[in-house]
Amino acid sequence: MQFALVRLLRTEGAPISLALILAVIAFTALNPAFLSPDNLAIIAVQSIFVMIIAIGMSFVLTSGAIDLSVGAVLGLSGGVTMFLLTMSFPTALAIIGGLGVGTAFGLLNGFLVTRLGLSDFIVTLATMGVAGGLLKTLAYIRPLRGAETDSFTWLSYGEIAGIPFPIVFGFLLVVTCTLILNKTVFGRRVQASGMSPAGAIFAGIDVPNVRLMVFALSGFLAAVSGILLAARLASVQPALGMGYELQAIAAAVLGGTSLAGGRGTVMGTAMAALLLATLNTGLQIAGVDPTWYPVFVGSSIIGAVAFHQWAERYVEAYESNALDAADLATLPSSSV
Amino acid sequence: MKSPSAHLTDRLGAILSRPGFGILIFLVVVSFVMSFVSPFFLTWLNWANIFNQSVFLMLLAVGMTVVLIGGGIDLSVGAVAALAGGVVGILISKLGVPLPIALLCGVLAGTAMGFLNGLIITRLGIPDFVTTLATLALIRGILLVWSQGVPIIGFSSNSYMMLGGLRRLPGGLTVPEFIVTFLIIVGLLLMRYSRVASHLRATGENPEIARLSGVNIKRIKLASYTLSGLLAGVVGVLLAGRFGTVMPNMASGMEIQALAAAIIGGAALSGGRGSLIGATIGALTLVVIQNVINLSGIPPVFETLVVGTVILIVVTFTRLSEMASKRRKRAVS
Amino acid sequence: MGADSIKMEPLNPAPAAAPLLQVENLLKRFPGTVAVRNVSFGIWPGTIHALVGENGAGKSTIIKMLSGVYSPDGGQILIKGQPVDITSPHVAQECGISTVYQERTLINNLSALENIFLGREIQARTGGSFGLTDLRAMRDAVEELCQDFEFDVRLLHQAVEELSALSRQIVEVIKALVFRSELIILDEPNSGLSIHERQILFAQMRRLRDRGTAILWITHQLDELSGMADEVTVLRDGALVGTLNGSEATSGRIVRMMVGREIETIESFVTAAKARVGTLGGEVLRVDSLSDYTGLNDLSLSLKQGEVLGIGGLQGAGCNRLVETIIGARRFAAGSLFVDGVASRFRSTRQAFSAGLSYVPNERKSRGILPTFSIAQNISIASLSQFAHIGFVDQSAEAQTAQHFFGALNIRARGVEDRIVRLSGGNQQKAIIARALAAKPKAIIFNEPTEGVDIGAKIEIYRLIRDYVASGGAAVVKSSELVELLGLSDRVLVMKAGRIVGELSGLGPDDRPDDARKLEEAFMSLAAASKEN
Repeated sequence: MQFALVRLLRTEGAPISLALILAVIAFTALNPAFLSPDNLAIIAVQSIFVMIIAIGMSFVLTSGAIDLSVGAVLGLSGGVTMFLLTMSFPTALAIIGGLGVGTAFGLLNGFLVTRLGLSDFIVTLATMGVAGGLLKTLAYIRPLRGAETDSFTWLSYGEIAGIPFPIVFGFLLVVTCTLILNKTVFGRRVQASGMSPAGAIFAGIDVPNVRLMVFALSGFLAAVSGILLAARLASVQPALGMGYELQAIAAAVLGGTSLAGGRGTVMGTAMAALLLATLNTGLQIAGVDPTWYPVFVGSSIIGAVAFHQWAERYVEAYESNALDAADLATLPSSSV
Repeated sequence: MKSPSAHLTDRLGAILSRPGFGILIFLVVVSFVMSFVSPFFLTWLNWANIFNQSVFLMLLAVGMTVVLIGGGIDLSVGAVAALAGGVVGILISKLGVPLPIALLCGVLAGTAMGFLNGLIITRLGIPDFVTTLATLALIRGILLVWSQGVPIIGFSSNSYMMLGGLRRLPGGLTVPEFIVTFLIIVGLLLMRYSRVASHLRATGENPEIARLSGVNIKRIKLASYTLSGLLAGVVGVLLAGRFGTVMPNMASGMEIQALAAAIIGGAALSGGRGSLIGATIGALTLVVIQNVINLSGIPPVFETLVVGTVILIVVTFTRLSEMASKRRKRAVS
Repeated sequence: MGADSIKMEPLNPAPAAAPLLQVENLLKRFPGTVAVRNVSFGIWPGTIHALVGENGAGKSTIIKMLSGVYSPDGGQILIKGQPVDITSPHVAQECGISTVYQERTLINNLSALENIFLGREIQARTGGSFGLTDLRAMRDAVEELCQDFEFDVRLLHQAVEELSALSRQIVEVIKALVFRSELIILDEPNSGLSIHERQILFAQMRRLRDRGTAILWITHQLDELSGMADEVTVLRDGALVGTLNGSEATSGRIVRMMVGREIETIESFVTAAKARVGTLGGEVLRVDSLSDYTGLNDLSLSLKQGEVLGIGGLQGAGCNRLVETIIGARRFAAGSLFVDGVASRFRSTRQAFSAGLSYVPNERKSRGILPTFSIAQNISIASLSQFAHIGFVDQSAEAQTAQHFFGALNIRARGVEDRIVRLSGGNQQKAIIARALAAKPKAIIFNEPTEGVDIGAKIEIYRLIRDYVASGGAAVVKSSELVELLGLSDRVLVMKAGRIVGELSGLGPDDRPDDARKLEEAFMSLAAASKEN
């Protein structure tokens, strides 16, 4: 029984998937309409925007750092793309512009943190303000709407084989990033950098470089999400993205990525983003005041961290008991 | 033998590196420039307004500094302030509670939230910024639910407005300014004459050694968060009096400003360091920047941009001068 | 009581003086080892009693038992003839014992006065229970001590991080003295002090002694003992070798007592392994006049294929720093480094590894293992490009390689996918060595290769290293275990105070125990040499 529980706790993304299934069952019980394909599709699409930046956040957390600017960068990138569209830039260029801005912010964060040794917390807090301010500036210069082209709108409403593009994209991203984190050389280095920076350095890993790339990735993914969101909303408000960093952290932590670094899961993050979107919709359907949503986000972060800490201690205690037993068998009979 | 110019640069460097001093120079320079841009800038009225405005941020910055010195961080102060203000507003407008009691309840609410933060952090062992980030979201959410998005009104009164600083006391100070002055004096006295200050700094700088020396680090941290909550409660109560209305997003973003002010004033995220005076100067700086933006006709949307850039510049500059002084020390030895 | 097992030669055999502190048959065990075994000695008031021995001889364990950090597993401690149970640092303080540890215990941004009184501040008469303190009383309490140590009272209010090394040391001593102690334990008080500052400290120690305080002084610098120590107790491998009168305690005699342990276990190994000496190959690694910002000065070495080059010295000599600089983890200020003749200046360990160097770090727990990775993942981490196709890690190749090393290095584990934290220390170390080998390096640098490893695994690791160099590799071994260093290496560089002060040849296959002893003494003399630099 203990062993099965330990297996469950240690499988990537298992606890959160369980939570997701339970939530779906609970909401369906409250209102059978919940389980309709249309509704599920809406939930899936809604979850994508947070999911994408949460995946970036997972990488950052796994490498042992944190990026508080993702929400603001998301908004700014979407805004830049919209801005370029209103200036009649071709869609492709507008998108590249947005992606470039996001990546640039990521590189800036990475540079300040790894080359100057500044605290990642402060740096990303500051760039959050800068990005947010830049977006407000753009929105002030001209309203960021009314310039969507067909190809741009397709990003959000187009379909591939009957499935909305965002869902397809999200799925591909999850698969790709899971592979990158778990199966590639880069992913190994990210994990090592977070779990033991000293150990990673003495094993020949360039930890600052790894972290720089991870920040750039986070900025890039924030831009991707921002552009998709702008396509969805067809307009960019000056405060777009505000608060999204919190949801990204929540999703990453709920999914099982450790705040301390070294252990991350893209699958778990994706499931957690789905869970958050499920809660959002489910609460509405159940007739609960939607303003309760942030309360859930807040308490779920605390609950998730506490749960994962407990789970870690539980698994460790189980394994060290096993270790003691193994050690007793292999210790030499006489001491030095 | 060092050359006289080397002596001079050494002393200059020593003075400049003291927390808050560099920023004072920045203020002087900005004021000088601004005096040309807007004739209104250097008037008594403008500066009286600036001070009256900055007191709220000063109080939050002081609380943030205390928490930072102890090695923690409190991201919920803005939300706690709004909560306290909301409590006062609702008690007076919906339940007819007399002003003094309502004020007390507001401050208590803030203190209780601070205490709760401290409990979660010291007993459950959940990291500081996660906890306060989460309580931030929680409180904002609860406020939204209570107020249903509608501002709380109908609780104002003459005496409350005076408390909020809209009217001056005999002697020229407004009530909030008085409170801040009082607080700073008490704070400075405590730093010097009580062991709480050195225990707090020890806890932030090196909790292990502090613990082995007999310092109760859990209690100190809990106290620092409770104080932060208390000050946030006071700010919320004062803000409600000042504006006469409590919006659900009142004081939103002030936690970042308080953090910035504390860090400009010399506090370190890693703990153990910080200056109350520095924090107040930092808060003043941020308000002056706001004032500068207003007076020069720059649209207020640029504010976060400017604040963010200022933080980046200050932090980068501090770090670069640290690295430079290390290099100088190495060259000597 | 076992009085006959206690070898005492008190300085003043005057019957009035009874020992202030006595330890009898002290025993302390840790998992897998016995740190202190059957140690007995006595300390008289008004004497300076030195405690010497190699790294790992048990000195710091004994101090920790006297200061309440550890409790003895056997034997007893007597103060003024009464047995005491020192259960915590506070109890030690109450028994009149104060300790100044080697690891500095000052909090940087607090002032000297705050550090001295941290946790035991003198309360103000009014408001004391609210935390108000009496600054004047605290200042007065230390005033006399400050005068004794010629410590400027104005410095009391400065943050200790701004004080000089000597001032910080004095603050530590004042901290220990301020609450009337009868016995002061000084653990390596001189580390970090200049020659001149040491003289000042010695003068203070003598002054304290003359006033009746007893001092237990732990030091590595044997040449400093003369003129200072009234008695010298020598430890070796956790056991007491003897206690000498100050006048008998010459460097030579002490060194002879410190070393010369049984080396049977290693002797046979040395004979067998070193009998197979092949011809040395070309130069693999060369360092020319390396200097850095922390005191390393003008270091040069050359490593050829097929040899093991040892690096050793006392704590603080710079061996660790040298090794970490070579591997790219630290920057150097001047000098050059050549790998296979190619000049390099490594800005990161990654560059060093790419150039063909591999590293087995010390402090395995915090610097070696990657705790949440499996054993296979730990082994492959330094050579991932070998296991990668277009960036993806070939996990079956990884597992195969791990399996190969399991056999070659005799790693005992349940499987290659097992988590590395579940392995014993020796097997973990072997896995790290496998990691270094998997990178197929030109040279491997070992930092404390058998730290925390039981004797059986130690011998296996020695064999591994010798086999590796015999088959075309080259190794640098930094070790603070003298027998290991001399037995494993073909040549040994001795470091002191950031410089290389000599080179010895390692133990040869035909060497007898006497030769080994002479070699160890030669090492110790170099490492603890009295020549001022």
